[in-house]
Order: sequence, then structure tokens, then C-alpha cells
Amino acid sequence: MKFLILVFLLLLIVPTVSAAHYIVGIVNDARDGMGANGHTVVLWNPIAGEDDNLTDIIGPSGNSGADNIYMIDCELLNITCNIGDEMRIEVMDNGDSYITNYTNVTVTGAGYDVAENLTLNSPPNITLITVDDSITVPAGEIDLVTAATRTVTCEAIIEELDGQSLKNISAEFFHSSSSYGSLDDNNDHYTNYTCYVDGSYGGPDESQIFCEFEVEYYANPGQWECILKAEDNFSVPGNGSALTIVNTLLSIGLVSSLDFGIVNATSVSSEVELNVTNYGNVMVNLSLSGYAVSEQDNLSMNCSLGRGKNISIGFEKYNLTASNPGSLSLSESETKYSNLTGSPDIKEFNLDYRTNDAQNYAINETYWRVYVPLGVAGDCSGSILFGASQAAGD
Amino acid sequence: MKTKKFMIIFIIFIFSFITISSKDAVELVKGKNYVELNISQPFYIKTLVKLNPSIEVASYKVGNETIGYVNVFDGVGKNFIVDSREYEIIVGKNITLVLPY
Repeated sequence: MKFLILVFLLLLIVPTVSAAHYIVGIVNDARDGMGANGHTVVLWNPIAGEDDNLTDIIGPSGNSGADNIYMIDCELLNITCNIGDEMRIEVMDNGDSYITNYTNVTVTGAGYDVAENLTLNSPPNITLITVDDSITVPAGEIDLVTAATRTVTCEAIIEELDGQSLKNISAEFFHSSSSYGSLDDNNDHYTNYTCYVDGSYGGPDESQIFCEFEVEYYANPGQWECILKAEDNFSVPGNGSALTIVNTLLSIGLVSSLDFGIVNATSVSSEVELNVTNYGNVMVNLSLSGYAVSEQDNLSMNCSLGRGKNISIGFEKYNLTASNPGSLSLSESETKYSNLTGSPDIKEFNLDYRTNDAQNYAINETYWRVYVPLGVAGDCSGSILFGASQAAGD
Repeated sequence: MKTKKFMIIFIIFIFSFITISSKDAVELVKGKNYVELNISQPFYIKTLVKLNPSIEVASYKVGNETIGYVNVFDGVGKNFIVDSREYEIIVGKNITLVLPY
């Protein structure tokens, strides 16, 4: 009797074990043309958790054997499905960012259940991207501004074919020595998280994005790249990039005048310090020359009184590396200083450009004296021409 | 007496698993049916479904795997060969199974 009951129970159980309940559904191709076939559908019971799940490949290589269709036997779950259970289905990311929203389907007593159609989401598509400053000619080159910033705009057209709003729009503008995701540094990396979106641009699926960067005068010269990213509602990013060139900026800054004070005739003035600041983005040497009234007049100063009224160009002297304080005779000064010349003379100065965002250390001192010869009196004035040069200096 | 009663139930239950030869008529009731088919000339499940549109799902087990065919979207799943084995056949209404020959 007991044996018969056992056999009966076994027979009762065996058909249940071999049962199947299929969840079938259609996944439409993405609106950008990406086919659903080959992507993976995952099914799980939210109550049991995502870890207990089943997957199928959409299309001919999957269980369904048919284009755009998946077919999953939910009774193969570890916690098998029962009538009334609500199953959740979505297309998971295979690495190409094409996914779907999830859909729910309730297990019924029918032979199978058909889930609502899913449509593969199209990631935002950047169709056009440019990066440039407001100087349009020549295009694709950034010309920095001395001791100031230049506005550089990374501009893109984005298609969102699913009609979703864009979020987390950002752009990074960086030198070839830096990379996407690096920390901001005015020399080589800028980030903008507050890009402007013009939703009225183009068709209903298009938006125009403007990401601006205030690029400092000491940004590294060379190739720069703008990478712009925008996410749709699924947090799937679309990105695009554009290259440009930041031109070399040769620029130095000085005070507008240099006052030697009262200097007696046949005396050498006290040393006057003159700071030179690099306001460009390359290391500079100095080009130096001077004149009294007009260029190439071979005078350093013209004076209001005296017989000669002129101070020769060579009597104005400079030292670009060391200070020599105290009183000096003319002969002593000539050993410690170089004579200014009427024609530009390039001198090695090696003043590097600014690399510290907090403070500008790209400043070097220069030291100056003037010898006033006999027969010159009154107020004297002249000009010193400073130039920034990349040429080698002596 | 109790044993006799149980024997009758048991025998009825055993007969509910339909074992047929290709010449026998198979009655399927709405819902799940476990059918032991004894087929002399194999045919595709798609052919059987075409002859019996009320079949919603036909499947069988191989190890832990279920091989199935669902009569939706013009037929999805594996168009397996029907031969002599046990199948689970789900039908939408009571039918007499029509075989291809």
C-alpha cells in the first residue's frame, strides 16, 4: 500500500517538473537603426531579486529563433514562476549602450504570456561638434589674450531619437598632455558642467549645446581636444570630440616707466629694479634696445639742459641675472652690466610661463643703471624697447 | 477496502497519461497535457501546430533544458522533430489531436 502511494506521488510530481511556461515578447530595433537581434534580454521576479534571473538572446540565435523576438521559460528560475507572479524583463547592456526600459508581465494560466513590446533605446548621438574661439579666421585655432582669458566654445548638435530630455551635459577641454577626466588646471585642462542647451534648434529630436571655457593666457600651446558628453533618461551617454590648436602667445608685462631719480653728471645712477612678467604661454628671452627721441638714434636719453643734451645709448646699462647694489663708478658698472644698444639685441632670459593657478611666479627681475656724462643737465627721458622672443639669446 | 479504492484511483491516474501509437486518436483537454507519443514517422512540430492551431505550446525536457515551440508571432522557438517521447502540450480548447498521417 505504502509503495503504491509513493509511486502515485512520484507520477504526480514528474509532470510538474517537466512543465514550461514561456514569456515571449518583441524587441523593436533602435530608432537609430541598431538591430535588436543579438542583444540579451533578462527576466527576473522582482520579489525574488535580480540574482535569480534568466536570459535569452533576441533573434535567430536565441530561443525564439525569430527576428526581434525572445522567449524565456520562467519555470527555469530557481524560484519557479507561478500564476499571478509579476515578471520583469529588460534588455541589458552588452557593452554597446543599447538597452531598454523594463516591462512587467503577469504569469497567467494560459500556455504562454506575451510581454509588452520593448524598443531598443538609441544613445544620444552627437552629429556635429566644433571647438573654436570667437576669432573665426583662421578657423580651428585659439588665439589667447595677454594677461586675460579667451572664451572658447565647444558647440555640438545632439540627436535624441527617443525624444528624451538630455541630462548631465558636460564638456572637457584639454591639452594633448592631459586626458579626459583629469583634474582642472589652467595650463592643460578645463571642465564645464553648466553647458547651455538650445532645445529649439533644428528638428524635434535635435538640440544644440554650447559649452564655454574661459581659457587663460598661459594655457599650453599645441593640440587641444574638446570631449562633450550628454546622457539620456537611461543615463546612457553620447559623446563627441573635436580638435583645435592653441597658438603660441609671446607676451611680457612691465611697468610703464623707470625712474633713475636725480643723478649728477659724471655719476652712475643707483640700481633700479624692473620686473618682467611673462603674460604668454611660452618661455621667453628678451629683445632689448633703446632710443632717446626716435628709433636707431643711438641715444638713450635726451635732456632739457646742458651743452650736449644727449646721453649715449651705451651709458644706459642692464643686468638680467644679478643685482649689484651700491655706488659704482663708470668702469665698475661696465664690468657688471651690459650696455643697451640702438638695435634690438636678444638676450637669454629664460622666463618660463605661468604654471601656478593661484599665483603668478612667472616674474623675473632686471637691473638697470644710467651714467650721466658731463655737459648734460635738466630732465632726461628716453625709451627702452622690451620684446619677448623665442629666439636664442646671447 | 481502502487498498482497493486506492488501486482504482491509481489505475485511473495511470490512464490519464496518454500513451498512443500513431494510429490512436489523442484527446487533449484545455490547458496542460502530458502526452507520450509513439511516432513511427517523425515530423516537425510546426506541421503539427498547423494541423492543430489550438496548440499554444509544445515542449519537452532534455536534462535541465526545455525545448519548446510557442504558437505566437507565426511560431517561435525550436521547430523540433516530433518523435516518440513525452511532450507537454498546452491547448487553448479541448481537441482531438490531428497527426500528419
